Amino acid sequence: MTSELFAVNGISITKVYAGGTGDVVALDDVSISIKDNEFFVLLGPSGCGKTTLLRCIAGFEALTAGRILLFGEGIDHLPPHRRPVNTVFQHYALFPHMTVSDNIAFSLRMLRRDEREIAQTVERMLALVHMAEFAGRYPAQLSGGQQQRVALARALASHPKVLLLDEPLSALDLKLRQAMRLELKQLQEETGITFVLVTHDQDEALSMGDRIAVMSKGAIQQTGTPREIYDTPVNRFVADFIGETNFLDATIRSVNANTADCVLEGGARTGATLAGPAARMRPGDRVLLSVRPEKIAVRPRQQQPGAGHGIDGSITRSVYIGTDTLYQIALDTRTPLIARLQNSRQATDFAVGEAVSVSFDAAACRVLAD
Amino acid sequence: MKPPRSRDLKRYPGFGAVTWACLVFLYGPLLVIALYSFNEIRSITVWGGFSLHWYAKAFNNELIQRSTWNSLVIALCAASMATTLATAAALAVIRHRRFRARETCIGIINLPLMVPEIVTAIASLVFFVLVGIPLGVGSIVLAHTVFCIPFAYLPISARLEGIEGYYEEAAGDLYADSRRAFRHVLLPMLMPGVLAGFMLAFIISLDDFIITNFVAGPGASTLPLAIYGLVRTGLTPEINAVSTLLLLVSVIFVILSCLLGRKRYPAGH
Amino acid sequence: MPSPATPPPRAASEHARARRRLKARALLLSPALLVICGLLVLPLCIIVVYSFLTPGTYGGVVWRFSTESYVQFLFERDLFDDTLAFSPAYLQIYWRSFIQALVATTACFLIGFPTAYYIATLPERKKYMWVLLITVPYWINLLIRTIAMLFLIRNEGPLNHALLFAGLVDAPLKIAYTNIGVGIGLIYTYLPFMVLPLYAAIERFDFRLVEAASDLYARRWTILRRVILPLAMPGVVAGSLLVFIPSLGAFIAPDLLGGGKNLMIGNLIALQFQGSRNWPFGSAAAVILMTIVLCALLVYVRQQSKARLRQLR
Repeated sequence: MTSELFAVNGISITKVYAGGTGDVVALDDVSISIKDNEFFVLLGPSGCGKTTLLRCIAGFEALTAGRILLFGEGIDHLPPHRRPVNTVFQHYALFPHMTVSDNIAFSLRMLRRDEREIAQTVERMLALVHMAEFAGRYPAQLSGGQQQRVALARALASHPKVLLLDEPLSALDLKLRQAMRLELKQLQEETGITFVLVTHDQDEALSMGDRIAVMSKGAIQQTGTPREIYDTPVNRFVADFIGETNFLDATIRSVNANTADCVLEGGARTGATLAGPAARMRPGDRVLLSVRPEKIAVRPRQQQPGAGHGIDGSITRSVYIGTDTLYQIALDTRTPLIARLQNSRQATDFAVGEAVSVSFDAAACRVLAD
Repeated sequence: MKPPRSRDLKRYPGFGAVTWACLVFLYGPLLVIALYSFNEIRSITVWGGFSLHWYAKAFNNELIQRSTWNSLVIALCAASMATTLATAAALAVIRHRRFRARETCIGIINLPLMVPEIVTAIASLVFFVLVGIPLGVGSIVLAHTVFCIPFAYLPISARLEGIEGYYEEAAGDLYADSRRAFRHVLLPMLMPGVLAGFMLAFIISLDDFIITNFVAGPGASTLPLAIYGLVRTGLTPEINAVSTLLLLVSVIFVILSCLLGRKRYPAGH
Repeated sequence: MPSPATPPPRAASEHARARRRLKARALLLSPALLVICGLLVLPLCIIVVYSFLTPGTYGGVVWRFSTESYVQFLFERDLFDDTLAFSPAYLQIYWRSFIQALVATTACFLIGFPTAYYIATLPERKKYMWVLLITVPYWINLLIRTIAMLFLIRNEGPLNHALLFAGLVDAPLKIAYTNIGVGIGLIYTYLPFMVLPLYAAIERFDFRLVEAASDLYARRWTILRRVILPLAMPGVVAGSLLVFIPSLGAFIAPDLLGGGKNLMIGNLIALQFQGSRNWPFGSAAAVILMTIVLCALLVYVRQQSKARLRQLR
């Protein structure tokens, strides 16, 4: 192991729930390293184990196996109230019988700080989340967005080493959610605290996370920056879960460094990038390619006789969605291709039934590991 | 066109009338007895004018005074013990959702409701005599405590059921150990339920006649026992007065307890 | 990283946590359970034992096994030649109690169902007020309510005076100190027990089903019988039991309103511990009452689990 000190280091975490009909494996040998001062996002569909992982870090769940280190120190034996980690709960869990300031002061009182210091910190926190004028209100008198801010302030008041956020924006409406994303990101930068955020919303993950771990079925599928996750998904799950993509069945003809020459089902040829776990693929292997809709170029067929590796097809449907137009293109393969073309360009409009030629760079086309 | 009466499919003719009749039936006798308790004279047919004469007489009755005092002491003790036991039990049953004996435990807690009172009464009597517990205020308190547990348990468990588990988690997350999480978060949130439970247990104990009648022994009298003794010798306006007072106490307690049970935050302080 | 081929040993913390929870739960539950078991379950067991003992001369028991108490129910022992002759006196008391309780339950249902239904269909705010109105009498002293009823309906009470004054009757209606009086007392006492569970069941009812049924050409009374009533069945059963069980063992209503002439089981049991002082016989009477109650409860449990099954399907 390197000597780099991670904020959170999870080693082979396994969590099994004993159920009536059999054991349920919520986390299956998960290892994770979260750097200090980073905005880390756990992304995955519901039931993938992301919340369980968060609750393990907070200490609400005991591990079945594995270890969790916080800045290099084991915390498995510590109950939640002894861990310098705070949580923003999905439903905020603001204490309804306390005012906003009492809620924020709670952790400091539990830590037996002196009252003057508490008053100062509370004031600072209220200012940080722009809630100063609501100090005397009760949670039930606040809107969802305001409760959200109080929950944040409460969790940040004791200046924890790591802040855990469990789907904090899911209860807000769309407009507020988008505004809060920026605010959360800003808050993380201002405080310098490591944020670990759980979400099922890919836009949220891409827009806020410094790094993202995509989870499915109790395991981490891929960890990387938003760009890595989006541009170079390692497997079908990640490619499918993040954004939209086209899957093409193909066979590798030859491999040249990072690029594979592939034959699609209908016989058309295309180049594709081999990287990560997919690098082990050899000529003759049947593989799955992933191409993002916006990376596809569409031209009228007669314009380019035999130029490059164009794939012939015809438009079967077009959907105008404002900034872009989506085209469904029938190729000789089983699944139709979706292409997304920006409307701002002076691009020609394609009519349904029109014969077109489709192409994409080898760099935009990924060979998936499985 | 259908007549407008039958437009609303939910409504049935006559159901409203029955409901109002039901209300009159339930409250009529109580109002009558309350009304006559203010009648200056003994007559049923003649209104002798409004007077608190019978109340004064009841207050000066030495037996009623002593019984009232006994009743209050017993109710306070029994309700306190029952509420404490019920709160602890509710915490165990509601906060630990899955355990094997859960249904059985709930069954045992509610058992006093299912046994006919007369059977509870004689069983308690036989038990106290057999074990050698002297019959008196002490034995009444013991018997009442048992009987009051399910009544106290009801609003407490209902309240606890409505408090999501994440509040305690949040308290723990914010450095409160389990004792302080209970003290500062769960207990204050549970308090309206605990108070409601206490009040219900208090009236149940205050009102009990059958069980008390058997385990009281010769010395200790409670208010219901005293009233029963007076009724045996004939219905007097004095009884009406005491009954009206006791009735009023019950009504006030129940309404308070209902309001407490429904109490939502923010609190108005 | 070591990949666990065999299942990894559970971390010690998970075990410790489970143990702590178990201990906490036991600590919280045991006081209430101990009190109820020690002061109610144990005494009930003692009652069963007592019912098989010989009565002492001045109350209490003599520790000699005997089935005499149960024999006494059906037969009268001749004082001189010790022969047994069938005697229905006690059976009659049980039968009368049973009928009284049944009539009271039926009457409560007939009054309670329309009431509960009407309240359940009211708007939210009114609904709450009505439920409170029905709940309050439930918590008012049983003794006082019975006294109030007695005061109202006795021969020289306000009701008869009013009837005589209005010329509706020539002589006071004899209601108090009759079976009818006891019946009225039981209905009066236990009516809220019927209304509240019925209300709870009907309140949960999805009234769109009524529209659906009406759309399928059902008449409104047919809807009531074929759609609403079956769906409210758990409430009907719960309410009926809540009225039937205490009615069967009622003591105050028959004592005050029956004038001591129209004995019910409760009074029979009470007498054995106050007047006649035959503790084993009283215990036996209580055991028989408990058995009937237990049967009724079993019916209830079975019905509830059936209803739950139906919901699952």
